[in-house]
Amino acid sequence: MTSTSIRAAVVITAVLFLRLALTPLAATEPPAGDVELGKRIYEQGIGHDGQPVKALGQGDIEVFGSDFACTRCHRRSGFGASEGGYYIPSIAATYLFEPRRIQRSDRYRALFIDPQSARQSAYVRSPRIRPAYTMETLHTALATGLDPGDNRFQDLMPRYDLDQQDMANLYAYLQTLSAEISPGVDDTHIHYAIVIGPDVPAERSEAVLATMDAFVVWMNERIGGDQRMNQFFPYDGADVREWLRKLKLHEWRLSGAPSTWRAQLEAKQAEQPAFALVNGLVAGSWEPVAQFCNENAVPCMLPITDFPAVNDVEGQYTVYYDRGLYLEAELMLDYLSTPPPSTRHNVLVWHAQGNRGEIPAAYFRELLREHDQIKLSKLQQYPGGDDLAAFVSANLERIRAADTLVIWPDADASALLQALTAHDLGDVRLLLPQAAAGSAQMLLNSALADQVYFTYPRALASGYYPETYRIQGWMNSRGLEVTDQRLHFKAHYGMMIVFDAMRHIFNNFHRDYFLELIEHEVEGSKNPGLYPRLSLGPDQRYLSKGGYIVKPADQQPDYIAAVTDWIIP
Amino acid sequence: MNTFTSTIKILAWVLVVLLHTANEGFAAETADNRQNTTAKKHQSYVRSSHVYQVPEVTLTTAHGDQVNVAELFAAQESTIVSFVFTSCAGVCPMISATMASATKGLDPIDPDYAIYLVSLDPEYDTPERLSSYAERFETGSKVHFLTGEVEAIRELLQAVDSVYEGGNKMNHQPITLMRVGDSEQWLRFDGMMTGKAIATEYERAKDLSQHPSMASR
Repeated sequence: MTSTSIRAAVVITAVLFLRLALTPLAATEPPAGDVELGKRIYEQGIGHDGQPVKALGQGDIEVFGSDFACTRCHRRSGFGASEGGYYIPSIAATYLFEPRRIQRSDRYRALFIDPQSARQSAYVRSPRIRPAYTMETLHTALATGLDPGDNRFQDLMPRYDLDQQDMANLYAYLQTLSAEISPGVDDTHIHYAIVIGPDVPAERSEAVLATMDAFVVWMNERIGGDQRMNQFFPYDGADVREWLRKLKLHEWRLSGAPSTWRAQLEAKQAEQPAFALVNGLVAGSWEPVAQFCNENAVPCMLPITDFPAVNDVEGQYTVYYDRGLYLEAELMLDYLSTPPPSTRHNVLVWHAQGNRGEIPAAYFRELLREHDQIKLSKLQQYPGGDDLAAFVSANLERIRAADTLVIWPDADASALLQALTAHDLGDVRLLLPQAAAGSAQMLLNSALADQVYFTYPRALASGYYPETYRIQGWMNSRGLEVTDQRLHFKAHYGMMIVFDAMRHIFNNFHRDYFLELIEHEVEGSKNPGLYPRLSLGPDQRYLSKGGYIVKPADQQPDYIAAVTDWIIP
Repeated sequence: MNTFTSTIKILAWVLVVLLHTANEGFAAETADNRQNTTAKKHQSYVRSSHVYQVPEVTLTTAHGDQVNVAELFAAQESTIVSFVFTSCAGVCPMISATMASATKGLDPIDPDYAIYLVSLDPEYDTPERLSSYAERFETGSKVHFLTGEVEAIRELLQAVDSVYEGGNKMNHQPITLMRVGDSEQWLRFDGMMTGKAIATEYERAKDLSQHPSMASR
C-alpha cells in the first residue's frame, strides 16, 4: 500500500467518522404514523399503547387525559380559540406546516374583538416568526415549549411527553387537520340550505322563508358593497375583506316517510353541497336530519322543532334552541317535585293523538317511573271533535281523584280546556305545555283560572329586550308581513348567528370551525327576546336550558304571570 | 512509514473524538440554554389587595346543597376562590388542575382552608355535571364547586370586581382570590398561577396575618 493510498484511506475514514459523529440522533428513520391513532391522541389524549399521554401543565402539574388533549383548546377544527383572555393559536395543517405569516385575518378575534390583559394583547401582537414545523421541531416544541423560531409557548400550553410512535401518529393526523376547505363554498358564494319536511303548514314555511330571503338580499347587498370597496380602495381592510362570499340559500324540501329523508338529503347534498343547514322545519322529530348532519359533518343551525335529538348531542352537528317538549316534560316533573311531596302524588296524563301528544306523554311517563312519590295513575289518549265533551264527562271521577292532570294537547288545547271548564274538577291541578298558554285569557273568567298552569320555556313578554324593536323595524322596513312574530324572529336570529360566524371565518371555510365560532359568539349575541338568555359553550348544543311555570293572570302581557323563577331541570 | 501511518490514525481518531465531544457539548449547551430560558419564568400573575363584601347570595354545591356564600367563605380560617366552567376550552381545565395540585402545598402550611371554584355557566353546570368534573380532575376534599342562579353568580362577580365583558363567559379572565385569617382583605391574583405559586402566596399571607408588622418591611 502506498503512502498516498494510506493517506487517502485515513482521510476517507476520518470523514466518515466525522460525518457519523456530527449526524444528529434524529436522523434515525422515524416510525410510520397512523392517522387514526394520531386523531385519538388529538381528541382523547390516548397514546398508541392505550394509555393517557402525560404532560406537565403550568410547569409543575402532571396532567393527562381528554381534558388536556389537543382538541380541548385548539378545538376539533384545529383553528384554536380565544378564551379566558388567552389566545390559542391555530394548529390546522395550513398553519402548522407553513412558516408563520403575519396576517390579521388569522387572529382577528384576538386582535380586535376579545378583551384581553395587556400581556395577552402584547403576545397576540408579537410576530413570533417561525419556520414551518417538521416532525422533529414539533416533537421538540411539544416537549420543551420552544417553537422552531425559539419562541416560547405560553405556560397554559402543557409540555407533552410523547414517544416516537405517538409523535409520528400525531404528526400524521395534524397533516390532515382541516387541510382542505369544506364543501359548499365556491369562488363567489357560500351555500346554505333550509330543510322543510312534509306536513309543515305552508304559512309556517312561508313565514320562515320570507324572512330568510329578505335577510339574504340585505346581507348580499352589504357584502357586495364591501367587495366593491375592495376594488375601489384596496388598502383599507382589504386583507380581511378579501374572502367575502355572498350567501346563497337553497330550499331542501323533503317528502314521504322520515325513513327516506336521509337518502333525499344525501342526494341534495350531492347535487349542490351546502356548507351548513340553517333554521329548518319538520312536523315531527328532527332526528333523521340530525343523523344526516352528524354522518356528513354538516352543521345544522337552529332548526325550529319541538322534537330535537336528546341523546348524546354534545359535540354533534345540530345546534338547537332548546330541548323542546322533552324539556317541558322535565319542567313539569321539576315543578311537581319541588318541594318533594311527602305522600304519594297521583298524576293523570291525557294526550292527543299524534306526535305532539304521544311523544311527550311517553317521555313524561318514563320520567315518572323513576320518581318515588309522584306516580302515574293512568295515561289516556283523549278523542278529538265531538267526542271530547263526552270523554271529559266520563272521566270526571278519575280527574277528581288525581292530584294533577297533565295534558299533552295538539291544536285542540282550547277546545279541551273549554270542555273541562264546564265541570267542577275538585282541587286537581292542571298542567299543560306552553303551546296551550294561548288559552290563558279564556280561562281567566272560569272556575279553573287558579288551577291551570303552563310550562313556559321562553322569555316572558314582560321582559325588556331592546333588540326586539330593532328586528321588528328591520322587518317593517322590508315590507315583511309578520304573521307569527316568534317564528319570524327565530328565522332572523338563525341567519344572524350564521352571518356573525362567517364574518370571522375569513378564508378558513371549515364546518367545524364555523360551529366553534358560533359556540363562542352566541352568548354575546343580541337577544331578540326569544329566551331570557342565550348561551352556548364548547360542544354545548342547546341555547336555552330552562323555563318558567306560569298561570293565567289578568293585567299581564299575554295574560300569564310566572309562578316560579327560571327552572333548570 | 508504519510510525507515520499510526500517528495519522491516532490523530484522526483524536480529531473525531474532539469534534464529537464538541458537537455533543454544543448540543448540551443549547439544551441548557433552552431549559434556562424555560426556567427563567416571569411571574405570570399580578397581585393586588382589596376589601370585598361577599354578598349574601345562595348557591348550590356539587352535592346539591344550598349554601349562603358569605357564610361559606367565612366558615374556615382561609378561603381561596376562582371561577371556571366545565365546558371551557382554554384556561379552566388548567385552573382546576392547578387548584387540585395546590392542595398538596397548602396542607402542610395550614390545613384550615377551603378552595371554591364557582361556575360561570351555571345553567349548564348542574350539580351532577360539577360532581363528575370534580371526579375527573381528582380535586379532593378541599376543593368545592358551586353553581346556582345566573343572577346570584353575577352578584358575586360584581362584588369581587370580576364581571366579564360583553356578557359572554368566553371573555372571563383567570383570577384567584385569597382571604387569610379574619382579615377583610382579599388578595387578588390576576393571571394564571401554578400550584406552587398559590402555596407560596398562601404562606406569605399567613405570615403577614400572624405578624402584621412584616407588611411594612
